[in-house]
Amino acid sequence: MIAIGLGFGATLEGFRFGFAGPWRAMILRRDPAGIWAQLLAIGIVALFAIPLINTYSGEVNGATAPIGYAMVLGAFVFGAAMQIVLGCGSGTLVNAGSGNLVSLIALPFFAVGSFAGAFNLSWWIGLGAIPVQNLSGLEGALATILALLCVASFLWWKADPQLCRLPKRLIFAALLVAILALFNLVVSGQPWGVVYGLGLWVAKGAFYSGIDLSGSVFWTATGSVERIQASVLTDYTSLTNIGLIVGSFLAAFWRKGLSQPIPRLPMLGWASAAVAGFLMGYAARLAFGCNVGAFFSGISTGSLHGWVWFAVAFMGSYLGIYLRPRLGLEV
Amino acid sequence: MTIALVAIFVILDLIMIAPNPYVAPAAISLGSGELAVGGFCGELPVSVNK
Repeated sequence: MIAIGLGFGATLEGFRFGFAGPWRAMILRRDPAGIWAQLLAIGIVALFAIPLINTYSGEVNGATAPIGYAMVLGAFVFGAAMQIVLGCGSGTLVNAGSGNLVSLIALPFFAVGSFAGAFNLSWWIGLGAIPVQNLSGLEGALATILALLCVASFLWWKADPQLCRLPKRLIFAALLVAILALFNLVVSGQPWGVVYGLGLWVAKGAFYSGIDLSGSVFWTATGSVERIQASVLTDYTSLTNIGLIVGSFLAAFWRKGLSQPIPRLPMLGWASAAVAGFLMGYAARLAFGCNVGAFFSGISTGSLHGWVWFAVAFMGSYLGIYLRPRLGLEV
Repeated sequence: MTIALVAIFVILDLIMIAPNPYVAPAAISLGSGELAVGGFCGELPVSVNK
C-alpha cells in the first residue's frame, strides 16, 4: 500500500495532476483539460471497479455513503476551502510533501478537522439523509461512463474553444492514477481515500495523550477503537497517505529540488490557510470524503453521493475563488 | 519538513504499538475470501449503521 501511495504521490506531483487547480482553471479561464483528465481517470476505474464490487461483494467495497443535509453542506464547504488553500485532500498532502509552506500549515489543521468532523458525525447525520444509492454491475459502469461523457460534453460546450485540448501529459497521468486506484481497490478491498487516515492520526494522538473519546459515537465504534489501538502501519489509508507525501517529495526533489520560496503572505493569509485547512478536514468527514474519497472513488465505484458531492463542491469552489484574494492568499 | 514530521509520528507510533507480524490481512483482498474491514472516509458511526 505504501508503494501504491508512492505511485500516487509521484504521479500527482510529477505530472501536475490535481483537482483544485483544474476546477479553478475551468471557472476562471474556461480551461477544461484538467477536469477532463479527472473524468477520464474516473471512467477507467469505473469500467473495472463497479463490476468487480458487484462480483466480489464483501471482499471489495465501494465508497458508498448516504446523501443528506450534512453531506451537501460538507461538500460545499470543502469545495470553498480547497480553493482558499488551493489544494484538495490529495493536493494538500502532495503540496506539503513537495515543500509548499501554505499546505504545510494547512495539513495539521486538516487532520484535526477530520478528527473533529468524525467526532461529531453522528449528530450531523441525524439532520437527515436518504439511504445509500448505488449503481452496480456492468450496467452501473456503463451508466457512470455515459454520465461522465455528458459532463465532459457540457464542459466542452462551456469551455474556451482555444483551450479545448487534452495534453498527452494529462492523458498519461490519468491512466497512471486509474491503474493505481484499481491496485488500491484490489489490494486493500476498499477504494482510494485520504481524510479518514488523517483523522485517525489525530485520534491516536488524542488517545495516547489521555483525551477522553467516549463522547464520540464514531471514535468509540469497534472498528475505530481497533484501528486506534493498532499500529498506523496496519491502516490502509494511512499507508497510502504516507506514500503520497513521500512520493511527491521524491518527485519534487528529482524535478527541481525543494527550494521553494517562502510566500510573503500577510498574517491574515497564514491564519486563513490554517482555518481553511481545519474546515476542509471537518467538511470532508460530513461529506463522507474529499475529492478523492467522495468525488473520485465515490463516482468510480458507483455511489451516487459522489455525483452530488461533485456538483455541490464545484459550486463551493466559486465561493473559495472569490474569497482567496480577500483573505490575503494571493499577493 | 513534512517528511520529518511524518517520520516522527510513525516512529512514535511504532514505539507505542509494534505491529504484530502474525496478524496480517491477505496480501490481496480480491479473491481472498476475507471481508474488507479497513477504515474509510464513507464509514458511518455504529449507531447509524444499526
